[in-house]
Parts: sequence; C-alpha cells; structure tokens
Amino acid sequence: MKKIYLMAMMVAFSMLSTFAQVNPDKGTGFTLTGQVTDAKTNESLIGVSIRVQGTDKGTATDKNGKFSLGVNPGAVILVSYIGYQNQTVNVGDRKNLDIKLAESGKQLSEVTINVGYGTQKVKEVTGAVGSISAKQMDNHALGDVNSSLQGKIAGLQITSNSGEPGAGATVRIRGASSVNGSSQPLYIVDGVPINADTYGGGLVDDASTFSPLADLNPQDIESVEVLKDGTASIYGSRASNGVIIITTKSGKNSKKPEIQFSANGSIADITRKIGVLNAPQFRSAFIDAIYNFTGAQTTKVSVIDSLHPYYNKSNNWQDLMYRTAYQYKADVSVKGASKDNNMNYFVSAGYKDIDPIIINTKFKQAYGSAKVYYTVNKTISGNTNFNVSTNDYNRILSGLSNQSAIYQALSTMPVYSPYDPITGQLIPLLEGSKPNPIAISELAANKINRWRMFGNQDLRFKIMKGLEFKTTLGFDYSNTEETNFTPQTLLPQGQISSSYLTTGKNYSLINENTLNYRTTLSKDHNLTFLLGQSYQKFTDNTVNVIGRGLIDATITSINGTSVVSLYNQNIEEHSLLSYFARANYDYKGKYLFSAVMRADGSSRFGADNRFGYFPSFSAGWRLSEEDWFKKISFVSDAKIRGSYGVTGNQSIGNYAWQGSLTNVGTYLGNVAIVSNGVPNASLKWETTKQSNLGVDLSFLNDRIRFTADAYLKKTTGLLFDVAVPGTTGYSTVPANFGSLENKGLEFTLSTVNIDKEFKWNSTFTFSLNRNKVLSLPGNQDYRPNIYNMARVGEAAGVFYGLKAMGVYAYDTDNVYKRDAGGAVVPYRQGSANGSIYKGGDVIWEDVNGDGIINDSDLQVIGDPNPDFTGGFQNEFSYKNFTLSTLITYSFGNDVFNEVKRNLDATPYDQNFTTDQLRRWRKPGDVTDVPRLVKTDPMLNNAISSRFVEDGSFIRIQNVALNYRIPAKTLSRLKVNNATVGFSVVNLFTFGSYTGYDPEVSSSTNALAVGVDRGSFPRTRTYNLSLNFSL
Amino acid sequence: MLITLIFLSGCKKALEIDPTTSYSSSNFWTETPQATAALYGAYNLLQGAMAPESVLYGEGRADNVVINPLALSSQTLNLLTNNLNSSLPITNWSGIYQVVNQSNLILKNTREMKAKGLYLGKDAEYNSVRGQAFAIRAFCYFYMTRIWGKLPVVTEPFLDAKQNVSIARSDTAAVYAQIQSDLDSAALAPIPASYTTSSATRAQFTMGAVNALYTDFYMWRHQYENALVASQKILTNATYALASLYSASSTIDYNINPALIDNTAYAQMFTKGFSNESIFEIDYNFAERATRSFLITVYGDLGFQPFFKASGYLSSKFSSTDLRSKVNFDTNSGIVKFFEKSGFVRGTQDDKNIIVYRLADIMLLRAEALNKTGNIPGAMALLNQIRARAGATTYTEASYNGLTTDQIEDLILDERARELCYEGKRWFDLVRTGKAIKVMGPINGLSQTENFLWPLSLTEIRLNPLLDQNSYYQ
Repeated sequence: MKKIYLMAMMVAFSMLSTFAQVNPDKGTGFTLTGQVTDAKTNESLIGVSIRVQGTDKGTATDKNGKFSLGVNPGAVILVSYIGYQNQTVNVGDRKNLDIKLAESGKQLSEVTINVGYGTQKVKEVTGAVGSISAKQMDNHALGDVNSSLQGKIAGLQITSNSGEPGAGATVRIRGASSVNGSSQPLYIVDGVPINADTYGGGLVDDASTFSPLADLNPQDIESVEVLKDGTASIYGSRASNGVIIITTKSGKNSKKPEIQFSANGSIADITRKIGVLNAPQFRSAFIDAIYNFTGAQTTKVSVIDSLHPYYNKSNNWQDLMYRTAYQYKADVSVKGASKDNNMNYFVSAGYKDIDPIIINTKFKQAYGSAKVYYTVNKTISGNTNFNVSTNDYNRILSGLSNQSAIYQALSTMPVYSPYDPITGQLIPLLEGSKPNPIAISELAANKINRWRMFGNQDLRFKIMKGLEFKTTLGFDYSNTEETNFTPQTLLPQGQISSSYLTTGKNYSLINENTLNYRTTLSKDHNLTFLLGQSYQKFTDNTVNVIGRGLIDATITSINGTSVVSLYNQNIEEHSLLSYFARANYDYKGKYLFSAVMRADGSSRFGADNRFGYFPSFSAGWRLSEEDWFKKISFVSDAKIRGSYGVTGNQSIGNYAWQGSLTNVGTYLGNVAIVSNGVPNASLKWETTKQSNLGVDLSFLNDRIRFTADAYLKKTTGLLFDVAVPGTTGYSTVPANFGSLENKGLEFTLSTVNIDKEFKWNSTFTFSLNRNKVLSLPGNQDYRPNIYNMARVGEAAGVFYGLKAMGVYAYDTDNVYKRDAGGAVVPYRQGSANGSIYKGGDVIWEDVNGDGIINDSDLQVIGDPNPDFTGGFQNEFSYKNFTLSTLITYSFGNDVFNEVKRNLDATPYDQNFTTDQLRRWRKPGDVTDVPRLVKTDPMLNNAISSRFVEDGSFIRIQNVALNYRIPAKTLSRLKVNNATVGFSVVNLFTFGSYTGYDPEVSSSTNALAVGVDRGSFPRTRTYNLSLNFSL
Repeated sequence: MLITLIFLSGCKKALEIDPTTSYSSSNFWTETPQATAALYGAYNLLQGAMAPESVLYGEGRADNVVINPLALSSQTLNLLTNNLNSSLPITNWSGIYQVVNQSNLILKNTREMKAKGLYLGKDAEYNSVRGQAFAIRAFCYFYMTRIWGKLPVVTEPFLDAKQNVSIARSDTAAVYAQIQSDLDSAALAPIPASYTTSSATRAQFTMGAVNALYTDFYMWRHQYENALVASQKILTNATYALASLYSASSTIDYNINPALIDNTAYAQMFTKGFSNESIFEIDYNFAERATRSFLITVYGDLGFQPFFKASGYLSSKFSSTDLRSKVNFDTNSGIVKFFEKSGFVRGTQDDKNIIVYRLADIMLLRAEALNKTGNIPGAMALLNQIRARAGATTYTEASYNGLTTDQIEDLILDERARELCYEGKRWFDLVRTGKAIKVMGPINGLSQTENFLWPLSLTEIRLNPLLDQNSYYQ
C-alpha cells in the first residue's frame, strides 16, 4: 500500500517537473527576459501575468517587475494585470522586452467574482452581485469584516449594534425580509457556510451582541461578494436574506516568498457624551420630583446637604468611566508560489490588543490562517485552508440594569464621591444601595473567552476537458466560555452574589460534491453546468451553571458559590441536505442565461415539510457586444440584466416542530418537568420571491461606471416564534405567519475624476428600500415588545405609542369639551375614572376623541427603517501619497431613545438628562418637557413620540493618509514595499440624535430594531500604521 | 440507480434528528414517572407564579401595609393608592395560566396513559397525580377569578401551534362551575390525605387542602352551609393542629428577649415551614436550586428597602399581651413575620414558604360562616381559640352579646387581620365580606365595586382580540 502511494507520488513529481520545464521543442526556443512597468509612473509592477498565447506556459513578474520565460521565435505573449489594460506583444526574435502597461478600469469586467459554487467574469454575471476587493476594504486594521463593508456596496446596510470590540451588527441586504431572530445573510468563507449568528455576553443578558465574523482577520480577506437577488437561490434555504461570500487571500501568482508586516497603533476615545445634570441642577430637579409627588420637601441627606463630605461633588460620571485608550494590532503574513503556480501558499498571523474606552476592560485577540494550494498531477489538485482565532475579553455589562457600567455612568447621582473622603477607599455601594460604576468595573467580572476554528479541504479532479469534479470537506468549530460575576459588595437590598458560567461548543461539518462542466459549441455557444450535493450537520452543546452565595470577590468562578441554583446541558443538532444544479449559457458573450435549482431538506421541519425547492432564472444582454452598439464610442460597456428567484429561510428552533418538555429543576427534591414548547407539525420553509432588473454601464473607456438595480422582494410564510396569549400557557409558538415586501433601488457610481499625476477616484453608493408588512394572522397588529409593532401596510418594526402634542401650561388648559351646562370636561388618564391631566402634564393626542387617553390612542410614532443609505468613497493620490476618505450616510430612520426614557422616568433615585433643564416648573411655562414627579403617576414618560428621535446621520467614517516610501529608498533596505499611514476612524458624525450614536440597535430582529437600550458607545480612533513587505 | 436509492434512504435518516437533552411531545407521556415529574413541574411553575406576587395580590391593595418610604417601586405605589392600570406587570396572569396548562396536560395525558394500560396496578399513583392536578387547576382558577372576575376557561391543553389561541372570557358562573367540578374530581379521585414525607403532606395538595379550598370557595360565594361542611372535615382531621405561641406557664418576657419568639412553634410555622397547622404551603428551598420566595423584596428590615412596612392602623389593633405582634413587627414597623428575629441571613434564607392555607385561616372562615348562619356563640368560640393561642384576652359572652351579625363579622375580620396579616389574605377578605369600600375608601378613595376587580394586562388584550377589559378600566 505504502509502495503504491510512493510510486504515485513519484509519478506525480516527475509529471510536475516535466510540466515545469521549458519546452525545448524544435531546438529554436530561447529565454525571453523583460520588465513590466506602469506606463505613467514607471514603477515596476509585481506579479504581472505573462503568458505565451496558445500554450500553458506562463510566468509572473518578480519584485522588480522582471520576468523570464522560455519562448519560441514569433511567439505572442499576453501580458495581463488586474486594473491594467491587457497587452499582446509579438515577441519576434527579441530577447528582451520592456513592457509598459496602462492602467484601466476596463479590465474590471474581466475580473472574476465568486457567485457561489463557482466564479464568473463580471461581464457574464446576470444576477445582482456586489463585490469589493481587499484594496477597497478598510485601511483600518482594528475594524472587522462588518465595519470594513459599511457604505461600500449598494443595498447592503450594516448597523453595528454597539461600539464594543467584536460587537454584533445588524446586516441587511435589501431590507429585512425575515422577522425572526437571525435574519442575517448567509456567510460563506472559502466555500464553507460559517456560523454568523450573533451571540450574547453570557447568562446575564445585558442585550449586548457579538459577531462571530470578528473571528475572521480582515487582513486575510482577498475579496467579498454579496449576492443580493434571487440568483442567491444556489444557496437555497438560507439565502433569503442574501449571501455574503468571503474569499481569503492566497499565494496565487506570487513567486518567491514574500513576507508582509503591518503594525497599527491607535488612540481611542469616546465620540461624545450624553448630557446629564450637574450637582446643582440635579438637586433642583430631584427636590422638584419629590415635592411634586409628596407635597413635602425631600429629606434625603445626599440631596439637601451639599456640604456633606460624601455628597458634595459635582461629577459627570462619564468623565470618570471613559478613558483615552491605547490599542494596537500587528499582522504578519507570508505567501509564495512555485514558478509554475502548481503550488502556492499563504499563511498569516495577527494579534490585536485593545483597551476599550471604558476603564478596567481589556480585549485581546489572536488570529492565524493557512491556505495551501497544490496540483498533484494534471488531474488532481487540491486546496487546504485553515483559520483559527481566539479572543479574551474582560468586559463590563452594558444595557439598562443597575449593574450596567454604561447606564450607571449616566444615572449615578452627580453629588456622590466615588471614594470615601476620609479613608480614600472606593465605595462599592453609594449611599448603601447604588452600585458605584467605578466599583462595577473593578469588582464585577464579566469575561468572554472564545476559540474559533474553521477550514476546509477540497480536491478537484479534472475528469476530461471541461469536466471537473470537486469534493469538499469543511468544518466550523467554536468554543465560547462566558462568565459573569456580581460580588456581594455591589448588591443592594441583601441580594446575593452570583456566578454564571456558560460554555458553548458549536460545530458543523459539511461535505459538498460538485460536478462542473464547461464547453463551447460551435465557437459561439458557451455552456456551463453545475451539479452538486451538500450535507451539513450542526451541533450545539451548551452547559450552563449558575451558583449563588459567593463570600467575596477573590474567587469569582462557580467554585466560590455556596449553592448551585441551575445546571443544565443542552445539546442540539440539526442537519441540512441539499441538491443543486445550475446551467449557464451564453451566445458569443452577448446573450447570457442562467438557471438554478436547489432542493434543501432540513431536520428542523416535520417529515411532510422537510424539503423546499428554490429555483431561479436570470438573463443578461450585453448590448455593447452588438455591432450597432459599438458605434456609440463613449459607452464602453453596457449590459441589461434580469432575474427572478426563490430563496428560503429556516431560522427557527432546531426542535421547534416537535415541541419540548424540559427538566426545570425540582420540587421537594423531585424532578420537575415542564412543557415549554408547543409542537407545530406544519412548520415549513419561509420563502422569498425576488425579481431584479439591473443595468451595468461604462463610459469613456471605463472612467465612469454605473450600476443600477431595481428589485421587488416578497416573503411569505414568515417563520417566527409568534407571541400568543398567556392563557395558552406559553409565551410564543413557532409558526409561519404573514408576509412582507421589500422593494427598492440601488445605484453605484464609480468615477475616475482626474487621471493625471494627481489622481482622484470616487465611488458613490445609494440604496433605497421600502419595507411593508403585507399580511398578518387575522391581519391583527402584532406587538412583540413595548416599542415596535408589525401592522399590515406599515414597515416592519415601526414604533407604536402615544403622540405628544406639548405640555399643558396651566391646569385650565386641559379641556376635552364642555358639557351641556358649559362646564369643562377634561381629558383623563387611563379610564373614565382616571386622573385629570394638570399643568405640566403632557398633552397627548386623543386619537379616538373619547376624552380618555389610553391604549386606543396609540399610533405609529416612528419608523426605524431608513429611507435611504449609502456611502461615498474618495481616493486622491499624488506621487507616493494617497488620501482616502469614506463617508457613510443613513436618512429617515428613527431611533427610540430608551436610555433617555429610563433616566427621566425611573422610580429610583438617580440623575436625569439635561432635558430636565427645560422641564415645566410653574403654571404658564411653555415647554416640551413635562413636570418631574417621582413615580410618574400621570405616565408622562409612557412610550411616546417624546422619545422618538431622528436617527439620520452622515458620518465621516474614515480618513486615511498613506505614504508609500519610494522604491529607491527601500531597495537599500532590501524592502519591497513600505507604507506609513495615518488615519482617523469615525472622525465625525453629523446628526441630531442625542444619545451616544444614531447607529444603534439593541437587536438584530427586524421587529425589535432601532431601540437604544444603553449599548457600548462608539469609539473614535486615531491610527498610525506601518506596512512593509520583504 | 442503486446509488440513488441508498442515497435517498440515507437522506431520510440524515434529516431525522430528535432532541437528546430534552423530551419532545412524541417521547413524553410514555411512562408513569414522567407524569409524576410533570406534576412536580406544575408545582415548580406555581412556585414561580406566586413569589412574591401572592403578596401583591393579597396585600398590595389593602390596609395591612403602607409604602416603605425608602423604597419607591411605582407598581406597589399604584396598588396602594388604588391607581391601577393595565400596564402594570402584576396585571398579567400568564404565570398562573402556565400552571393551568401544565395541569391540563397532566389530566389529558394521564387519562390516555391509563387507557393504554400504563397505570395497570398503579391506581393509587394515578389517583394521586390526577387528584393533585385537579386541585392545582381549581386553585388557579379560584385565585384568578377573585382578581379578574370573568376568565377564559381553558380545560384542554394547548397541544399544537395551529390550535386557536384566542379564547373569550366566560362569566363567573362558568368559572365557578369549573372550580366546583375540579374540586369534586379531586375529592372523588380521591386525592391522598397525606404523603410519605411530612413536608410533602404540607407542600402538596391533599384531601385536607382540597377541603380548605372548598371552604374558601364556598365562603367567597357566600354558600355558608357548604363551607361549614367542608371546614368541619378539616377541624376533625388530626393532621392539623394549632401551633402553640402563648403558654400560661412560660416565664419568658418577650419584651426583654424579643428574639426568643423564634423558638415558638407559631413563629417557626413561618420561618421553618411544614408546621402541623399548615394545610397547604408552597415550598421554597435555597439549598435546592436556590429557589426563593422573594419575601425580602416586599417585607423585612426597612433599611433594605422592601416595598412595604406595617401600617400603624394594623399594629395598633394588637393588644399588649398579644404575642403575634412580636412575631409580626420589628421596632421600626418592619414586617418580620416570615423571618427569624435573630440570625436571619438575607441572601440564603429568603426561601420562606408561602402559606396558602392553615388551620387558623379555616377556623376563622368557619367562624364567619357560623356567624352568618346565626351561630354566634360557635363563631366566638373559634375566635377565642385563636386569640387564646396568641395570649390575647378572649371575648366574654357579655362583650359580644347584642352585637349584630355585621358587627360580629367585623370582629372576625379584625381577628383575621391580626392572625393572617401579610399572608396574602386581607384584600380578598375585604372583598368577600363587602367591606372593602368601607375600609379602603378613607385610605385611598376606593369607591366603586367595579374597581374591586383588577385590570387585565394590556399585553394580553393586545394578543387576544376576544378579551374585554374590566369595566372600571375601560
């Protein structure tokens, strides 16, 4: 056996060596040498492909732009390089050639992009696919995949959920077409569908989310494609929210090993602070609140005694909690290839060390990746790919709880001294009951430790000309351990200290087998077929332990607890079995057709509904290939595309259709089992039908490129855990309900504005999406939470509440009507027996005109969905300097400021927002802020338009200046390439939102978006970077 | 072709994945221990539904408590000031309906299991599980109808997501008929009179507990004769005896050593639970999965900011010899009835059982019934038994001679306040006896009988279009 293997290897090697040798046929061959340079700058170009026409022979230029290649006299060589015009050179008998390549965007239509299970040239694509290359990705090393895509692809809207390291994001491709928890796109990395569901911060749910995409080093990414329309049906059941295909870097076309280093150091600070009251303002407001409630002056010492040593401060706690932090990242990678490109590799490692802007927090992350491509023989080639990442995060809780450092930094009364004025010791509980935010950050322990590995092994077999079989085995594994600990010292009211531990092992294995056939019939008919099968199995294994009663803050783990109050292990599996086929046909590259069919079976559905079928059809017409069109010389390329496709979604509990009964603990020492899930045997796929019409145009030799798409997407059978009345004994049931629609327009305009020694490029993206709920069960309004709702005819997730019309200046202003006797009938709160609104109370719109302000007066008060979003990128270069800027924008979306509502309406003693400076204080005051009354008996702080703010913004997301050190200087140092850069990320945001940042969302769920619930504020960073390669 | 066949058969299996760490609806209800575990599940849900909601429902709107000024929770304030609205979390009945659904599941499935022969030779087990499930359901509906009046009567489990979820409210007559029928079924099963452990006899439904529920239910409906029959069965049941408090021979001066009251059987009825006086209580046990009744969030040392403190009105009603005031209050009007006066650890000992029915409660209900049926001496004898146990002077015949039935009822009601304060009884006592407006009107302006019922939760009304709001809150 071993022998056979050895022999096979030897055969393979001998074949390889013959393949690599210059073919010395006819004895007249000679070695051609030369150099390729940029026609304009005369800089040498590295990695330019040089091929002998009509043969397999080829090479690439080295670091000096030089090449050598064995040719025969009279040979013709093809010189090609991404971003440059191709050149064909008749060698004749010349032995040395100087080739000057002119830059051109034209060739971009020749660039191949990944469209799922294969690549296509841009010019052949018939679907709506957005694509960006590594070059266009953020220069900002501390970002992640999500942040580097923001604003760059029309139709892709990315909203970071917070400014926390590794934060989750709400990623929407052409609006929300699902309403369930994970209506995120499907992510494919190097062919493997990876887990991209955001995860929380542990068993203590503080509404923070983290993105598994942060496990991927953005430095390793070569290109990203976004499948936006129905042609995504090649990924069938998981593609209804679009597909994002990430391809990592490889060593392809490099020659001798090249080592690349990059280092980035940053200084980060908070972008803005929220206005809260200082001590005198606070005292006045608090005294009002108590007086208005009880009719008596407060006796609270901390408020009335401004000279008290413990209560004589005027702190803005945000100043004490946020810091200017130092962050850095270093990356190294090595790539190389054999001369003949039969073998190439790329390996990388990265390390990131971030001090988040909140004191006493730390984030560290390390990455590694390896990718090797090899050709075993003419028939067999393969690819091995491996990514690993780990991070360690010491964090604080965000959210609105009293253990949230973010919220306590706002709500803690300004009068307190954080340290005992006598002993100098930190006071954990201010006034014996309120956690000191500094103490929270020091004493509480909230940690995330995560390992992630994913990779794949594929083997390709060239069975015959044009026919290739590929088999892939891929895996995705993560292990996340999250702990939360709250010490006794931070707990008021004799609550007891707790330690929480959750470890989640999450893995999937996938096997895919595809057959690809490509052929050309009678020269003009190009045909491509794909036939495939895929099986992926997912396992989640979670262990949760909660312990109570730890004696101190020394041992913070489960080991320190006196009693374990919860322990469970939850193992869940699901699988997906798929068959798919695709056929592409084009005639002379002029008329393009593509048809896709995918059948997906999911274990998440009952036997009758297991399989779903997802077809799509698309066609394109390249007008520019028509003879009559070629006369229109200023148009260099023109294509019209259309597609229609069906995609699906299967995001529902793994066993949802089967119902569930779970051990919930014990009673009197006996096992207690409770039914906590209702079966639904008729649960089935959610389907999205999408039509797309697009046009790609290039003018003036590709100096202006324009892409426009219009789409209509309709989703039916929305898969969702539907809230049901409590009388059922459950809060939700899994079901397919309702339908919704997204329609919109997308434009991308890329221009080369100036193309001299000073060069200016820009790209402008614009997307407009309109979302509408088409039907709901019984067409009843559906309200999953107190802020958002789904109503037929409205956008998904609109805010719903009372509409404020101002504040009564006088008691007598409250007139609903006059009765027959002329006496005033006032508006009442809640019911006909309810309290009468007085001066200082909010004037609510009485929608039904019954004089009673209650649930029937609720109305749509805001829409979290933006009217339009996009970005504007500019790149200016002059000699060795490059200045790039990225501006992103979002218009027309509302944000519900729950942080403000909590600060101003809380029943607890705490600070208020600066809105209270405008509060109604005495009869006659005309203002929009009601009078402050402890406990808010008139519900002036109910969910209402008072807290809905315009979340529109224009953000200068990135400004980066790079200087490329001239080659002459470098060559002495034996360095190929070196760049130093300075950049500012999140430089400035224009917008009227009064919270930390308008780009905020506490949930990725389309029906719960746009609510600011105290997430980690966004960071501005100033970065200095150095990149060089050897 | 063959490959395709293998593939297809394989694929069917590849997509069949059953849960391994929980049960699904298809592999549960196949063995009798599962049904028993589901019954404990119902108790587990009851634990959650009542801690400490039973205090808010039973005391929050009544006169035994006032707000603790150090704690400003707007919900309790809304209750105390009689300013209820449908947004208050306490108006949501979902927790109790979870218990109802769990009981419905047990009742339906055990019947089917019996039909399949799974309970062959296990009649006692079958009767025990079903009897308790019936009793639990009766308790839930009785508890809820006193709060919300008309209720959606759900007696079949919710089995499939396709099932109709919106159920309208039935009038109280139908709710009462359901409670009556469930109690009858429990008694007929028959539900066991006791269990192997003494803690289970007190903390699971028994025949005694069913009779207590009967008594309470008949009293609520003013069916005094029925109440007398049911309560008599408890009084003659040797399982239940009054826990001692006052002893004539004792030389302890509780004014000097107030903490020694901890040693009395009466005080331990609340601090340790499972007393001989207890008929039904809900068990909480910190050592067992850290279950807590959260009584420290509503009662206790004022410095720890519980919602409530004792009302002066109530504390003034105790005579100086009445030892119950030593059990109930600390010197700052903190409510410490359920907590050890010395050595109470707030963190780990917040697992005091919630006492639902105890002998003194039933005796005083019986006194009320006797009074209403003209047997004043009988009523006063019971009243005096309760007073004597506490060291309070008993009423002499001369002191109550000539009092009207209504005046006697006031005496009994006062005694109930002293004996059962903070156990979640007072509001229901006031409503049952029709004295809520008389008592609460001067305190918080309660003036309309429609206001007795609580509002239905807005969340429920939104999710179920068939629900109508109670008239006062419309």
